[in-house]
Amino acid sequence: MKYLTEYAKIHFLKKASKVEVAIYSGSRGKDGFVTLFFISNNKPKLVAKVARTSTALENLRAEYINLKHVSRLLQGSPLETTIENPLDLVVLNGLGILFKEYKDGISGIQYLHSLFLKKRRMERFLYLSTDWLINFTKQTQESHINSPDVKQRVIQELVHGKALPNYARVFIDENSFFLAPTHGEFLPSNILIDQRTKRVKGVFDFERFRMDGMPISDLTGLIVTSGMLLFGLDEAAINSMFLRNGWFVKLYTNCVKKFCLEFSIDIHAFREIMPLYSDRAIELCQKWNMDEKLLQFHRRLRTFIIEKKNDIFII
Amino acid sequence: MGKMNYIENQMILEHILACPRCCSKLRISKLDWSCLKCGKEWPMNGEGVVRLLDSSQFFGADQEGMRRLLEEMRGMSAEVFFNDIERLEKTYLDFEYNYCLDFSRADWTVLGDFKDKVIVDLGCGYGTISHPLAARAKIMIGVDNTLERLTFSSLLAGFRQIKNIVFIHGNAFNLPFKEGVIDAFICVGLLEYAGLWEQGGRPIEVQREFLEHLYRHLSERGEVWIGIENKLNPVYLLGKTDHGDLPFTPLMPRIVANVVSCLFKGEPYKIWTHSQRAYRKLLKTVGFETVEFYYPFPGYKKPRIIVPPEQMKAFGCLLKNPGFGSDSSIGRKAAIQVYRILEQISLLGVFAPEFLIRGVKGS
Repeated sequence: MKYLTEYAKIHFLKKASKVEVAIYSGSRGKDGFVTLFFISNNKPKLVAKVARTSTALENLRAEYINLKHVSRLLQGSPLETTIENPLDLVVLNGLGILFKEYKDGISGIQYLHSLFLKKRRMERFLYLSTDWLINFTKQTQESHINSPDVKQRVIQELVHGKALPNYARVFIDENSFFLAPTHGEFLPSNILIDQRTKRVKGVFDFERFRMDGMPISDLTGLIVTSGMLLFGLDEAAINSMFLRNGWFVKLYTNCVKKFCLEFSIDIHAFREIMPLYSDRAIELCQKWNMDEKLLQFHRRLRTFIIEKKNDIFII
Repeated sequence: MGKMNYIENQMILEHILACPRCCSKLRISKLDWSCLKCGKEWPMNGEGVVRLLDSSQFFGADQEGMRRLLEEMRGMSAEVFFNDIERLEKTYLDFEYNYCLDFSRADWTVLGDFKDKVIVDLGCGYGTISHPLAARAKIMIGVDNTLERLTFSSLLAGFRQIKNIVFIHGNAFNLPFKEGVIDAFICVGLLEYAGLWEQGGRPIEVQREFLEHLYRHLSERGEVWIGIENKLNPVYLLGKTDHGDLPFTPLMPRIVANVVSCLFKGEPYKIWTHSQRAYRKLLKTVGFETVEFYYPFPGYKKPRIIVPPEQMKAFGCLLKNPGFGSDSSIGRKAAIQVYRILEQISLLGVFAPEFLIRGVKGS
């Protein structure tokens, strides 16, 4: 452990008197990461991600480049402080390590797992996160892409060269839909909330960031994964999330409306293209060997969204 | 032995191996190991596992099923194997991704400096620690007394193209190494069982002898890493136990635990765990100059968080991190609250459920 603390002290924590390392073990299979917290005076001061394998190291490199890119995109904006500052990517004693600035706060998952006030917390969390997403998308407006040709190329990647489904055609042909810089995994676990100020304090894990992503996919992902925390992943969960539970439907409809209003998107058209989110989620589940239950959930959700598209928003 | 890097491995092995019977030099070939002095030979099985033991001892639920799994694996390519995990899990009782393949079981190893070291994983099982650690080691040696596990691990190392790994079917008390040549011993989930290895011996004495045995093989500044339960785990107060112990026995005086175990289980109480203080004393008695404790939660087998020594207040900070709160079971939440209270009164270390201990030879 000395090799880690010494490196951190020389490069990033020069003033810290005594530095120790605590480990947080992520859970993304063999190609995931171990997170290290460098602690001084019983408080984390620095964070680092360690690649478990060479494949994970490649992902770490991608994250480092992405974070640098995002920092440049948000330079000078109020959102700049919500992004982790990437400090260095090094190989120490055979381990690929990405050092990042530490951000304090409570993760969205923890925030939503409260025993009480579940509904109120969910409302606050979804509104705050949607606002962050809207601001992020506005802030990167110069990089938005409306070209049908580029949109078609991106969608073709998603459907692996198969014939384009109708909902994909809507996304390509409808001018209000655009490609833009996206986080790629905008989930409660990657969003930090400041409990005191009740604001989004940080957004991290930009491994799947891309310049030509679909912001609507980030928004849908946020809604669905937050819903999963409340309703679970079983067969009944989708019905509860999108139909039976009135308050959650109203809540996410408001978030979508807000987003659509900002970017002049017709909410009916948004509804049409929602299966694109499921296509992407299924692709990620397969690519990252995620839990089979999650894959099944996304498959069911895709069918559900296509069949019940007229019922899933309160418009 | 991983056949691919035979020559490189052979050069390192010749430097570190010694006959477990007469301590003389060993001759290492592709088919067996033999002693140049006493002539004793140890064959390798088809997967390159060196057979120091003749026994067919099995640690698991279904030995026959495990053998069938190995037979199936022999006919598989790496790609087929990794794509077929779900079916294999359903077919074979002892095969489980989390237990046999999950690299996150070795996450704690980032705490140590294992780069270019000679590392021995005692009780290596399916290789969940040795395989990821091999990427950093000079040579990785896995020792276990269950041949099926070693054969699985060797086949898997082939699938993963790990070349600097050697497997020995052997006994942790009779290791084929010279003195002062091993840089690190990994003993995760092993030391507590030492009492079972020698009939009649008092478990604490056998544990001490075992550690002394390892100490002799360690190089100057060599390390032993131990993953083990804490006798003072608060969960034991609720009657829960590890290692199939009877309720409350870990908390009882040994003599009482022994009587209870003989009465209700029909066997003496041999699997001993200790408190932090007792482990420190044990390692210091053996001669380890530096003894450090890390606190893995919920345990060392698959820690979610590991808190360093002298920074126990960090526990609360770490709990706020993503993922930890995703486990919403009431029992887990209650346990977290108990540990938060213990943290506040600076007793988290004493009552941590399990420990990762690092002992260093020399000052």
